[in-house]
Amino acid sequence: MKKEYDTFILTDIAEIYDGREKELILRDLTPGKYKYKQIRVRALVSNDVNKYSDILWIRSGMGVLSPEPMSINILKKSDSLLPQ
Amino acid sequence: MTDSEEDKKIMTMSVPQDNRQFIEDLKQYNQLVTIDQEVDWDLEMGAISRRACEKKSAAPFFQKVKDYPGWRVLGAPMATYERLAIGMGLDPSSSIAILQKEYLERTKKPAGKPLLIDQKNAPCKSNVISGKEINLFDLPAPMVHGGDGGRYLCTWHMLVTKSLDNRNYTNWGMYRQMIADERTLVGAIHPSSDLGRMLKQEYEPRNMPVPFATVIGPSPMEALAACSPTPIQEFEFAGQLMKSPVALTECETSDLLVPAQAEIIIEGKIMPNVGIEEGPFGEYTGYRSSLRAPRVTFRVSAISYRDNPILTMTNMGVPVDEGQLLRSFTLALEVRRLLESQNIPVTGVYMLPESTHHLMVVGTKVQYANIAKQIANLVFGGKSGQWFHILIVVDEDTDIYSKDEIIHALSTKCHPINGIRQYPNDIGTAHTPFSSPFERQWNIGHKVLFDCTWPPNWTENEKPIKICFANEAIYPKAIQEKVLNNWQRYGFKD
Repeated sequence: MKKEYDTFILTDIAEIYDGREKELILRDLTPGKYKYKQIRVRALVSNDVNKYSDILWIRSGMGVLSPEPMSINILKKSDSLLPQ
Repeated sequence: MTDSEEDKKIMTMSVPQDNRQFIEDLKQYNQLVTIDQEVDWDLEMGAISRRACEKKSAAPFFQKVKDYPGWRVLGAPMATYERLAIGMGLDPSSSIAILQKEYLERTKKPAGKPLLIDQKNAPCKSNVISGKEINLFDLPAPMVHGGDGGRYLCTWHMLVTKSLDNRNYTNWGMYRQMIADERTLVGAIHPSSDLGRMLKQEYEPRNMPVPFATVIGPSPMEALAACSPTPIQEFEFAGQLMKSPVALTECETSDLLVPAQAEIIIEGKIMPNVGIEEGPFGEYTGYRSSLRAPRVTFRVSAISYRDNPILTMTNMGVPVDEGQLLRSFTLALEVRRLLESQNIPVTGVYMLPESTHHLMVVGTKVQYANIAKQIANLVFGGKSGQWFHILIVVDEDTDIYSKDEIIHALSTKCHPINGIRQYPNDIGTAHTPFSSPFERQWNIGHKVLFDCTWPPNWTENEKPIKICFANEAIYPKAIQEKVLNNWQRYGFKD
């Protein structure tokens, strides 16, 4: 089953689906008491929602939700929220 | 109502010493709605609290929160003047002038040293979680507004920290804090705030972590003290407002002292020079206006709480909620104290909460030219000045608590050229909606004065005559009394 996450993009949104591995802070949107927990990951993102296994919603720095989601392939989850 | 009738409303109740007594008092005065059906922490609790603020409804007291059996949540605790009055131990129908008078009177008297309560007798230490058991997601933190950066656990609370250079100075402040993960909170600390200064000037240059304690569900006057720009330490100030010393107890993991009867205590350390993404968050301006960014990081090492615990929350948005009401109330009174300390002939100071504490009205007895500019220089230049940008100065015949009279004065007595003075490139805040992103990032603000006083060089023949019932030049006292005495006989019902 596809997991859903969201992330806040503080720069140019096109930068995150340029095909290169990215370090992102995601929020886990799985229903339950851990919803919105933040995790730091290295991932690949595509603006093709069917390309990768999980869904990624994009929010602007002010919290505005983009109407269409992207897809994400999480390569590595970090134990820490701090930049590596 | 006369002043003496108003005075009788003072001290009808005792000042609630904790959140539990406050809840009972709210219930007594029909200022509480107990909601028994289960509500969702994910937006539903926030939506109910928001609507309650906008409709000036009673405070919602949630008994069942989805995913959190055994927890209760109190929303919008002091979003109205009625609930502020109850929090002060006053009749909820007390006028704003009475609330101000009482605040000023109480804060002239010493509070006495805080009472130190042994941890084993402190209600906030009834349940202690430490080590691997710590999990902030075990607390019913709400998602307050859709699109916020996270679940804001800490919105009706205080953050307790101590100066590194002056170990006798403890700061209480209400700085928002959001859950990042099980053991991490992140929060926005304004650089010019008391804690912001301590971080920048004392701890971060030495790369030293800062012990903190977040106190959720304090008593109403402890919360008011944390919101107030008071020059004295907040635990003393709270004692003055409560008319008795505060009861404090030791933390588990530091030498900080916290209110013994608070609902929840979260302890840990602020990591120096470390930023984790925080925000955005709907704020007191009624907008969400500052971007998500790396901000202050809190690592949690202990959580404790009362039996049958109650989380407290506010929901900031369009006026009026706690953020605007209490900050407006306390800013105005601290500005009044400042002006009186400089012997300015002040007749009153009021900040409209609908202005989200951006508009202040000062009443003055005009004794010399340009007194309005002198007042503006003082209030904009003082510590409180960064929080607001509009000052309206009126003379003594304008009721500063009346929106109608303020609008009338602004519309008729403020000369569009001579009466308006701008103060560009001054200090501001990161939240002001009309500021550009650059201005918000660098806390650049701009101010304006509206002088609504008659120039002192106008003679009595040159000053316009105010046409109103109460003006004895229009209706002599005998006529006024005759009309008042016959009002109901004429057929009027009001």
